[in-house]
Amino acid sequence: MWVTSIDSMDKDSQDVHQLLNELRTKFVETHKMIKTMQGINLSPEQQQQQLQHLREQVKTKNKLLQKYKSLCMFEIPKE
Amino acid sequence: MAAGANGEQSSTRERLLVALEDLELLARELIEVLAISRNQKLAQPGEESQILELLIQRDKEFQELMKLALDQGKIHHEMQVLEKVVEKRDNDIQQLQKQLKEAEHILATAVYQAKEKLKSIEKARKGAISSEEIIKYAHRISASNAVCAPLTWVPGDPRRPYPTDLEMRSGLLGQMNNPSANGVNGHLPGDALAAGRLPDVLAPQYPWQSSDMSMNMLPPNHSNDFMLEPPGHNKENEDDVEVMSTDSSSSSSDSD
Repeated sequence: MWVTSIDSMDKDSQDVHQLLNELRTKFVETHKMIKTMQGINLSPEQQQQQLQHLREQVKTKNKLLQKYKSLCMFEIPKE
Repeated sequence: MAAGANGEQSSTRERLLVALEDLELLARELIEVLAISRNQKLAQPGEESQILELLIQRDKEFQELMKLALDQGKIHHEMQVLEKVVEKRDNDIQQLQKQLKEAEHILATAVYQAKEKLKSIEKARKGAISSEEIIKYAHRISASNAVCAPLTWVPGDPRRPYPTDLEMRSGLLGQMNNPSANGVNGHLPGDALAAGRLPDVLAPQYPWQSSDMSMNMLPPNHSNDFMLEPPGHNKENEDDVEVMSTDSSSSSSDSD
């Protein structure tokens, strides 16, 4: 793209300007896209830590639920 | 150039933005250099290629960072799913805890009530009264027309289903009002005092009957019926009970 733009600089400055504008637009769009991308607020290491933490939480809560359910020896009337 | 500012702990977004900024800067620089070199007709191949190399290198880093960002996006999705699972588990746990609390409350109430029952059972055991005695006493009460008038009752008949003034005053309540009083004098109701009958004779007399009549109207077995006594255990009382109970039971047959 750059080579093309340089070549065309001599031929038609209008084309060059258009290409440069396109490039600028692409940069702006990429910037916006990066701003809206999800899940990149953290570094990969921090994200992994959080993921592990969540997995642990699910595991612990599952265990607790299992414990509660095994404790419940009475039939609870449904409302 | 901000390329060196990327730390390992900075977020991927920041690193991407920095890389993009670098790319933009390098591209602008390259274009400017190329334009200047063209306009001035000066050949500076070294600077152009250097900038180009830097640009390519930075672009490679940017591509890698984009891949990393996509991977992180997938992990983020997984984390969202896990967060929903955690939320659901939290709700389940809270629900179970609530039910356990309710069960605890019900059980505590039941235990309390059971303890109260045990206490009353124990109390009843300590002060045990034989049912026979209670039945005998009940017979005595009913036989004295204290709760129900005899079927043959007519106006003027003193056998009434409620205690007379005299009976009330000779009872515990009457004694409580005036424990030191001798007899019932001075504590009679106004109409009785006004009538001036009771102070002379401690027996109810009414205008429509004489004292003899009132006694005569009663059956022979009822002469002592008004004197209610707590269930005692002398032979005489027991005989009375027998007589009264038969009378009570026969009162209905009398009307036939």
